[in-house]
Amino acid sequence: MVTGLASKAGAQETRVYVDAGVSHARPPADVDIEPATYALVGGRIIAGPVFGSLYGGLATDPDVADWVGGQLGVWLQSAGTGRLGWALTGIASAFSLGDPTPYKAATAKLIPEARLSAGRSAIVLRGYGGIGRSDVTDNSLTPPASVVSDLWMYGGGLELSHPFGGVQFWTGVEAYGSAGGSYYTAYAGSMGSISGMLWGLGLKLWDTPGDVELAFNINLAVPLGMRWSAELSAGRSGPDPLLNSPAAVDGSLVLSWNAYSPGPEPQALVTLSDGDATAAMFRLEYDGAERVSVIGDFSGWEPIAMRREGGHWVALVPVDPGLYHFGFMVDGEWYVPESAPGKVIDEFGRSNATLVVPGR
Amino acid sequence: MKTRRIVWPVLLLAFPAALVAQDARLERIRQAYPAEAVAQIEVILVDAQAAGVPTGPLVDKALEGAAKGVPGDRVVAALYAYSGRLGQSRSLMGADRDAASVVAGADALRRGVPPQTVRMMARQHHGDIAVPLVVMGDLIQAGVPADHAYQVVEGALAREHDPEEILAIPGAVHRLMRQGQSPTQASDMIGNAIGQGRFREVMGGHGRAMAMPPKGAPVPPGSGPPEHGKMGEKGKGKGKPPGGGM
Repeated sequence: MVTGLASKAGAQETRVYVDAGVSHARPPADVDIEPATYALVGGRIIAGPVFGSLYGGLATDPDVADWVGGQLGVWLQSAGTGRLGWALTGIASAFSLGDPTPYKAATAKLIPEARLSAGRSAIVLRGYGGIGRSDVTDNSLTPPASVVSDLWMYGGGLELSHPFGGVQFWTGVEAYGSAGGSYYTAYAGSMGSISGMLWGLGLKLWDTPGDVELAFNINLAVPLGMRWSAELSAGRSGPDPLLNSPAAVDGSLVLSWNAYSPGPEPQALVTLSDGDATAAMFRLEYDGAERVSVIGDFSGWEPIAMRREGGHWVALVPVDPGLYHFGFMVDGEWYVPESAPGKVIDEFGRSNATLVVPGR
Repeated sequence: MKTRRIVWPVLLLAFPAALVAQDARLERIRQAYPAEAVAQIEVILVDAQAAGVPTGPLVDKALEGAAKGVPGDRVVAALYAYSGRLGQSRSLMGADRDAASVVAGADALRRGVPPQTVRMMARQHHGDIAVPLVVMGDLIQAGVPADHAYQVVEGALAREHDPEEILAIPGAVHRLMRQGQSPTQASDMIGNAIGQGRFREVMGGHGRAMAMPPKGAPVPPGSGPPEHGKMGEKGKGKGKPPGGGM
């Protein structure tokens, strides 16, 4: 359908998805517009903490506006698995609807989070800040009139989450102040996976400047092969405090293609071989080193020199059954590859890899 | 040297046989660190032995510190902390557990495996549980939720797979993740394959027989991040013109 790419950016991988499908939307009850159906095409990219998407909707009815929109964002989070954590999401979005109802908007949002984990439960304190500008043109007037609005919002919320039997549940409350007025919401949702299928359910009650709105949704991603999946989404989207837009019933069915092309398997850092005695073969890829040694519990932390073999440094080390921490000395500097097995903090602020030799 | 002269004779009286058996390695520690640090290390070892904490891993850790050029005072602090972690691991597993399992338990706790999971694993499996604990740590560090990681490993143990095969689970999960799966999806797929008796097929087949949807649905503008948002939380404007422009 469309070519894709995949590459490694440091330890993070880039992923690209190409999507095509159909969507249907019904306007709010008090809006005098016919329901609309769109052919939907677009794609997503995730490159480490950066994500982006670009989609277009082509209306089947010539009297309904086509649209194009996209977003670019970054998601940062604290490292480690401690009780306290943080995350920060920044998203810039823009979209444009064409004739006969021209409507353009650009927004930027910042969403900081603080997370307190207790066992498998978590409490998340989340803030929202956003600004933007919209431009709506009324073509029914002569001459057509354009209304430009500055958009802003701020808000915050508290969310609790906990898994039960592999299903993640969450519930929370949020409040917003915006150019369009005050919004309050309470919500609950869950997600899980069955045989590789991802599902999600959500329910959200909104108190908006105009009315009380109920939003709900069901999402399902079904694998259809190695790279293909069908993704169903249906429900009633909630209002948007920043855009001051109402809730509306909608749904979509999208065929998604994972454009990633699997690369060669990385070679194992250490493999065990059988024989009269068990031995571990260490194989490290490291360009530009003068001297490399492997060192660990199995050698009483005495360095064992490695030799060059092709593009690798290798060493065969006799090992008895047991658990061993190890790493490499590369030109006198401690080194443990990112992909090392059993990587664990070593008590001295660095990392060790772990080799487990099962008993015979 | 003064401190060492005072402490060492006292310790000789109390030094357990298990530590004396490690004398060659202890001698290396004595040569590597200043006398005050050596005296403190020896106290830690004696205390650990008295508390039933395996001393071999502590001696290894001291030698590791020497190999890495860590100053004596930092090694002493590290040994106190490590001894505490080993003690916690041992108390979760029970007193009769082998040293490798206790070390694997301490590492697992450090890597985010919940204590109750370590305890549960130890209750359900006697003998050496180092392999499942290391594998659970690998999976959790890869981003797999702890309960999913436990289910995968427990499933493999229940079907009596070899330790070598269980050690291959993280590699298989990483392989699926490289192909676009989320950590949860990847571990669930491996777990399902294990449950269906297709474990070896999956390990040897480079995952090509397995289907994999990308995480999340397409996200038109105005919605949350596709990778990190929740599936149950619908993106604003999805499936309709953005901004409800109708």
